[in-house]
Amino acid sequence: MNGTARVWWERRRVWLPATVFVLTGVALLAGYGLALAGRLSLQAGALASRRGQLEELQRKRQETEALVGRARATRAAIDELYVERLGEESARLTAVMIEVKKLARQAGLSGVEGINYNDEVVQGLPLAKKSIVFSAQGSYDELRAFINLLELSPSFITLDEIRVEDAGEGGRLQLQVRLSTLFVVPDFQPAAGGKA
Amino acid sequence: MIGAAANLASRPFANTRPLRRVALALWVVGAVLMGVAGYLYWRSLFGIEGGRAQIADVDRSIAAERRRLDAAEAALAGMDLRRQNAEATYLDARVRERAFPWSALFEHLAQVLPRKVRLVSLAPQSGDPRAGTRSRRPASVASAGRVYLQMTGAAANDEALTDLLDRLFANRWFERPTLPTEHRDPNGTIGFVLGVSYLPGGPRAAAAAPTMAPVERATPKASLLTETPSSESRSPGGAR
Repeated sequence: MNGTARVWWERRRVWLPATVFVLTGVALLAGYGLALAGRLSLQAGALASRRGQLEELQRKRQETEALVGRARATRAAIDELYVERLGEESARLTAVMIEVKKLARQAGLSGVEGINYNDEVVQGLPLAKKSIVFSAQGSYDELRAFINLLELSPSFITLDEIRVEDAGEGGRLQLQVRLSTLFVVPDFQPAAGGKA
Repeated sequence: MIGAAANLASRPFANTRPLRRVALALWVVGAVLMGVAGYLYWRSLFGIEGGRAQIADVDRSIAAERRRLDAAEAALAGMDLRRQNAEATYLDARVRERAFPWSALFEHLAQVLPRKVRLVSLAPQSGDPRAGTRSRRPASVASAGRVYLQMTGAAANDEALTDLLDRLFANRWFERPTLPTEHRDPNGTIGFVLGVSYLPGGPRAAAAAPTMAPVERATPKASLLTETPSSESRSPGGAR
């Protein structure tokens, strides 16, 4: 053993505790790295994963609630149209008939006598379409006035087709007008089918 | 005798200063390491606990979201969306027909009809038969910003008929006129059947008008029609 080594050995009480102290610190850090750091990392990963899951659920829930809101708004609008504008045939038919004749008279059309009605059930929906076909006589201006009155009418009457022929009496026209309206079918039972 | 120097130390001299310096450095390094380790252990102890609490919070939120999602899905499942979509589509088309601007059409036709041509019948059609989409339903006017019109009429001569076609081509309210049939009547006039696309809102509105997405195309989620029947008030041409 040379001199220096002998001196270090003889004075080991000076440096050995410090060395042990350092080694203990290193061991503690190594233990942290091996055990706790991994655990914390796993926990952070689990938390991030759950947050992602939560965000996905929130997005899906918001979409679904928006869809439900839209569906309810659409349903409400449809029901309002049924109640406020269309109504049942028993409640509205005579009013429609009277209104068509009144508008024709108001516009100056004459000869509104034979009115044909055709019913057509709208398949799968609680609605029936009634076509109203009639002939009349009048001038071009009277025809325009009738169309204008029909457009301004609050009733749900649609003008589907107009046919005109020269009546040969000083610019008089023979008109054939096809109108249609919709009625709500009471107690409608939809055919069995899958829901959306 | 001075030649041999006397050595009074009991032991030979040894320089212990480096040893002490190393020991001091080791104590300092050890203290730093212990400090860092202590900080990390302390932080991880509270970090793990805090993490657990956060995970528990998020789990509670997930459970609450699931309950709300289930409730919304149950509400959605309780609605017959397929039928409602069919109703909305049908009614929307009928409302658009109701809003068809007949008066505006007559004004626009008056701009293009030559004096020697008269129309006999006029009927809007749903879809353009030239595109193979015609249906027996009348027009769903504003769904695509244009409506196909079928007209029959009579022209006094060939010039009047070609004049009508030229005017239709030139007029901004009409598009792609076609003359599938013409025949000379016994009285010398030329009877014709004419098809033309009418643009109730003008060409710009026709270009911008969205086409209603068919229900069949949509996924169940996206199949709800947002357009409600109250769209009548937005009738093209403001006829109503």
